[in-house]
Amino acid sequence: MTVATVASRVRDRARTSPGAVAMREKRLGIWLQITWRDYAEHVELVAHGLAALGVETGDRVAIHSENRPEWLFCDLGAVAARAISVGIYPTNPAVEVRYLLADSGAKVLIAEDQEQVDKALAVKADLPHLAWIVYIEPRGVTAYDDPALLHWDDFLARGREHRAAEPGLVDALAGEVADTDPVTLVYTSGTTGPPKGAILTAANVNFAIGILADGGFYPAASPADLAVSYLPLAHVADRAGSEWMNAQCGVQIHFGEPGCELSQTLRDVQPSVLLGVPRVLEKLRATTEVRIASASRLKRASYRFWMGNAPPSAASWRPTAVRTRLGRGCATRSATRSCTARCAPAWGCGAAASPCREPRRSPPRCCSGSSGSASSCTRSTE
Amino acid sequence: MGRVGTLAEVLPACREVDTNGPILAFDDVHLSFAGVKALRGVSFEVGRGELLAVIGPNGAGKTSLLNCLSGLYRPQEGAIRFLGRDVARVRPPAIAAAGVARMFQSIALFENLAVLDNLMLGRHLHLRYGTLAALVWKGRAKREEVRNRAVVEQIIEFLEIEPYRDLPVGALPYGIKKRVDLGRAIAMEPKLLLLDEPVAGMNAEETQDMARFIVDIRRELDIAMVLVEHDMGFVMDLADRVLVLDFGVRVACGTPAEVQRNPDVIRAYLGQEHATAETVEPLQEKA
Repeated sequence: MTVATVASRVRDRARTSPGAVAMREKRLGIWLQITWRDYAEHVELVAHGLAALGVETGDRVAIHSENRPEWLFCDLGAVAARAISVGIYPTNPAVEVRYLLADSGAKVLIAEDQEQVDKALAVKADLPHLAWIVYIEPRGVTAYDDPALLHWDDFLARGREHRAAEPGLVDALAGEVADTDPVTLVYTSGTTGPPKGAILTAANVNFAIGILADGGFYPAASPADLAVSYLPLAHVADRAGSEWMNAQCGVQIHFGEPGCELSQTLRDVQPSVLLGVPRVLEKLRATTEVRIASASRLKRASYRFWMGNAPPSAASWRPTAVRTRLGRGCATRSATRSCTARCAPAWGCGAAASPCREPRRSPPRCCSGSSGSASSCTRSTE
Repeated sequence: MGRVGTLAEVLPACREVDTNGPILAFDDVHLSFAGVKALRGVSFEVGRGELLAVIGPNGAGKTSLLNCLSGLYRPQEGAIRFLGRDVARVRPPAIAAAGVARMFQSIALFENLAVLDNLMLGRHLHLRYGTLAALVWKGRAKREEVRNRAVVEQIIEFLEIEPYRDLPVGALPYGIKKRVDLGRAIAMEPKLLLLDEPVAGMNAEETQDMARFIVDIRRELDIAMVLVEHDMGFVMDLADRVLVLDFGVRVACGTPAEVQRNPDVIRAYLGQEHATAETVEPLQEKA
């Protein structure tokens, strides 16, 4: 039996609902839609492009970029080519880029822009395995003459040529996937020594998707749900929460404008599912409370009503009040159907939000508990 | 709309220069205020795509030179030729319409307007519809507004000021205001860009960002620029040629390396005793 991968899930969605929206990206002030058809097409082109650059089964492909659709195209393209993706944090300086590229032995690096290309070129002499650097944003890079550099458009053009020559390659490779195939390397933060690459196999990813989507941890999500991708994709949390949940449940992923704060993107998107680490949720809450403190009396009263009597410290904050209030609110105002709750996933750090939907027959489900405790998932009762 | 392009694609007029001669030529320009002689017979040329830096101690006449060029001051003698036409006694709006844009030393933006509106004002020259069309908001007015908004969005993307698009300029940090000022200048699609102390008061990171923007503008638009700046590292890295003024007189003009070795320049900055210094380090330290 064929083993499903994230790439095969996207391909299947493109076949069943090609025109539906897979993700949106804000560019030049406008939210642009990317359909499942576009998504699968790009994944296939990247897979062929990588094959055209000489990437073979088990070769590593590093991605050094902020969150953007191309990140997902490359990650899934690598999986579709049976290569192994490696995410690099956009803030990593050149020395860490050298370590990660050397340790993973990456053959191809996808670099977002001049800043990331400069880091790679500064250390390229120490990286004998690195054959190609594909850059997405051409500004400033086109003046460079390093033969390893390749612009994204040319990379996709090579993919097109390769697909014309070997049209069945991606389907054939998908048929060969085994449970034990490594699909991605996720590097640790490196706080207790040099970062270590954790190997995730196709089976690992499928198990995680099973727990998250079908096992009840992640709120039952559907293609009608909206989510924002803002945590670093090099970390497994956003990879699971955005990329894998998008492929498995069809949740529409949104990428805000470069440099924009999360609050701006949240206001635009009004997401129904929000994945966040406690730090982010605390910051959002603190910002809200500071603004509310200087708001009019009516707004303060409204805030108190919806939020319950919010206690002063996050430690004693119980999400029940929020859920109860918002759950009640959802019956009358379906537009505001998101609420947040602190929780700890069973398999790692992070927190998820529970979307409130109407009509609601059963109480909303939420994982709650102090961050870091893995076994405190409880079912709330109203 | 949606694809991020190069500046040359959205600002094509910058490259439409139909002369083989210099873009700008100062010919023996004299300017005085009552008894004070601000410029005394200054002559120089700026070629296509060239970045000329103007340096000199305080009061040397650098900003006066830019003000003559933008039509704010009228020199008593001499000619200022822009694209072969004498603009020494032409009014500022006509000079701007001819293709001279300027970034001001003291930021001259509309503080209560949003970043987007300030940049749209830079496009004013290129909006081609009348008051009536604007009132009914149909046809040409709408099309023109959309077309120019697209240009402005590309500039916002280029300058990386997306998070500030809808904020009033008065609420922005200084470094971002400077970027908006630069954005409004290039939105005019100029053939000559005047930069009056673009990095004054900025920290190292903001200075590097501004240098990168100027390098990218040169690379993509190939427009001539006149830069007035006190940050010697910035000037020596970016300029093709440097013009040195002291008390309104041209002291030297040449490549950064030539100017750094010129004893007259060192004397103008540091006084007589240092005139024999071989290197520019003391000059940079002072600046």
